[in-house]
Amino acid sequence: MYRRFLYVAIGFVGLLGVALRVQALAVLALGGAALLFFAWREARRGLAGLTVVRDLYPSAFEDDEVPVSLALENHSRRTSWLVEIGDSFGPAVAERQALLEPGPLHGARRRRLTYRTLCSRSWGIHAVGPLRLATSDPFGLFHAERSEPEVAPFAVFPRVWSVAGLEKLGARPSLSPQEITSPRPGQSLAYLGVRDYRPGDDMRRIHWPATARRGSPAVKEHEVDLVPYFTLFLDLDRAHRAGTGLKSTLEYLVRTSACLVWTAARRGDLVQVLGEGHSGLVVPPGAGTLHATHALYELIRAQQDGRLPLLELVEQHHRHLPPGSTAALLSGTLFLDLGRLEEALGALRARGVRPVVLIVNKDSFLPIERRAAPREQAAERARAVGSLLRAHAVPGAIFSAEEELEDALGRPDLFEESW
Amino acid sequence: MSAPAPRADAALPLLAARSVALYALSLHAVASALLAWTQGDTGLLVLCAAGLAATLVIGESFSGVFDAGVERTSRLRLRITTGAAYGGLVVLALTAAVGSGDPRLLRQVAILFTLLQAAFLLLVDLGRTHVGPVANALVLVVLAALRGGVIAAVGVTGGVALLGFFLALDHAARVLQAYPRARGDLLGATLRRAAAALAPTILGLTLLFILFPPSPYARVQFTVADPARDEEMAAAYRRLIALALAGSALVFGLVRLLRRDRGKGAPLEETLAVERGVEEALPEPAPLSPREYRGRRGRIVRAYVGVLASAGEAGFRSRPSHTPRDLAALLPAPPAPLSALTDLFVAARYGPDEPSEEQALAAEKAARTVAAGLGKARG
Repeated sequence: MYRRFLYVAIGFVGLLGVALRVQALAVLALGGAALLFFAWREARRGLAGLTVVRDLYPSAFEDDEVPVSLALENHSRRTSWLVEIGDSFGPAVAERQALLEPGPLHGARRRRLTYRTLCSRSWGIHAVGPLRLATSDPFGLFHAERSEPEVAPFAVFPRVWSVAGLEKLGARPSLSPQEITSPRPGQSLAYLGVRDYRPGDDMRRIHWPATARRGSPAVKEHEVDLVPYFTLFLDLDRAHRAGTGLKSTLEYLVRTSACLVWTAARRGDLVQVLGEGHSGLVVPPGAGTLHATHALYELIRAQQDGRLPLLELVEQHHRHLPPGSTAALLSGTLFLDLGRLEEALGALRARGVRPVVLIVNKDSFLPIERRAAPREQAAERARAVGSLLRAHAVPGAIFSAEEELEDALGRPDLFEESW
Repeated sequence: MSAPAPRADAALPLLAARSVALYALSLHAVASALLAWTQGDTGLLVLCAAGLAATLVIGESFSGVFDAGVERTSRLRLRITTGAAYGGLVVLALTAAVGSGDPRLLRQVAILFTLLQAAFLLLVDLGRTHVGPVANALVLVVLAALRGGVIAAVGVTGGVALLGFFLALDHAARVLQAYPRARGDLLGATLRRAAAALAPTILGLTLLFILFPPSPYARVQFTVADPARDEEMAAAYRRLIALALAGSALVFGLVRLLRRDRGKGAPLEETLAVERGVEEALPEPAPLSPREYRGRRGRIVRAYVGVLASAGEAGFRSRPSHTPRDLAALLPAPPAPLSALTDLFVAARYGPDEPSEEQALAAEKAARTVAAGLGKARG
């Protein structure tokens, strides 16, 4: 505004000075023009040598507060003042985040600026960036701005709640010598036997009484220690899409999966996830927070766009599940083929795998592609599924759109009263 | 978001200093015009100093009351109407005064714009900017410039200097106001930066006025008493400086005490509290062990490397993986000489033949062109 005013005023005064031949007016116009020139030159040089780089951990949970660190570097020799930095943190509600580095930032120096913002938007992959640097001349007449075009993805994971029922189902001490070891040589505390010493054996494992008896070194052998193993079969059949936004089957499936995976991983299980959308969802077995984070990352990219029924997926993979493990079947519909379900459960049982069945009732959500089944029919089907699972002593639960997922998953009796 | 807002408003000292600069500019312009076209007696100057200080303090503190409830479009309409009316008045008044060459008319015009200056200061906080009082001060300086002599020289030089300080303080205050969570004591730094940026202009103007003392507007028929003597003028300026200092102190104190800002913010942009780390020295770039290029080959290579160094100083960051062709595509410089320089460099650096003297000269010329055009639009 001032700049435009000065353009007009200087022009007017200059013309007046020339027309009236008043020297002071011409000099006044000259002074104003010089002011504008120096301001323009300063603004042009203001951003030279300034760079900004973002340092950000690339994922967080919904509603987490995220610290975003920006390193503002001044590669020039001049001191920088009043540098405005704009960032665009996708998961936040505001479109832009504005920061000010008031200065001074001396030449050949760097300053780290950290701002904190909330992941207010729903889970998914969001964009972070671009960064924008802006500064002005000392009079604020000319503005210089530059964008750093780098845009980085940022994963927001669904908020996870402990699935209390699952903890009860799968809770086993990791050092139990009973069910979670296998009679093969390993590192567990379960004793398997004694054998001759081989080069490379740990000296601490030498069995001294046997060594004394035999006259040659002998070592103790232990069984393999089997850690709990959890498999999630996720239904990504496009036929089971219903609802929109927070009240949709995809939302319920992904949130439930995330909670199951996180709960299992936190108690030390080896966790794997299998699903079949348009592209396959395969999280190989693994343990620890890093693995759980990887599983969540794969889950938030999943789409309900597959054509493979859940029970077929189970049929394809159940042979690879280790005995003593837990397999959760997360279906998007009540209308499973009961005959095949019975077969799948039988097959899992036969391998010593403990099945758990969770069902998101798509017919309780707003229909988007096909009509929802009448309530009575859905209730009848729920009863039929319940009877089947009860008959096979399979724990399970049904979630409907009316239920708040957080409350439902947090119930300690989740797998006890649903049927 | 999480950090509490700073208790003390970091912009407040700057806002108070801006008010002082505006007051000084207004008083300087009014005094210059009145000294030029009236007797410039002490009573009148005291009255102006006190009146301008009072109106400015009232304007800064309470003009929010005036615009409360006025819609944005109504305010814009009001500004446009007022601006057009004021512009018309300026043209009319100056045309009449300059056309007649009558000092009495010029005196009346000076008094009219003095009153308008007070009115603008009273409504200083009404618009988004302070263009009104600044424009009116400029009109008063123009009136003073018509008088010629020391009054014109001091009026013009002081007007430009005070305008610069006002703009600098206004800019810093606005930026800090836009970031209410930012902290920083910028008053001293802003004044130093403004002084450094203004120094060449003010020195130049002073030198010009010393070398070529300004003459009065030729058509004015002076009927007032003999022009004031140097001692009287000096005494008048001393009084003016004393009044300005007293008024500035009053304005600074009262504006700091009374001003309360209303929070404004763009809804789609959140201004955030920033945790500022300490200033760290950037790691020194690894010392280069330049290969020795002799003769014409060396001149071409040095010209090219010099261009890259200039580009680095201008903010361009290259990666080790960039080839000369990549750099030619990425550098913000005129493409034709850059392409020629790149070709000559590639031939000199990797080619088997020693370049000719013409090629070395062409590379040096292209390097100068590219260095001069760095940062300008490609095309």
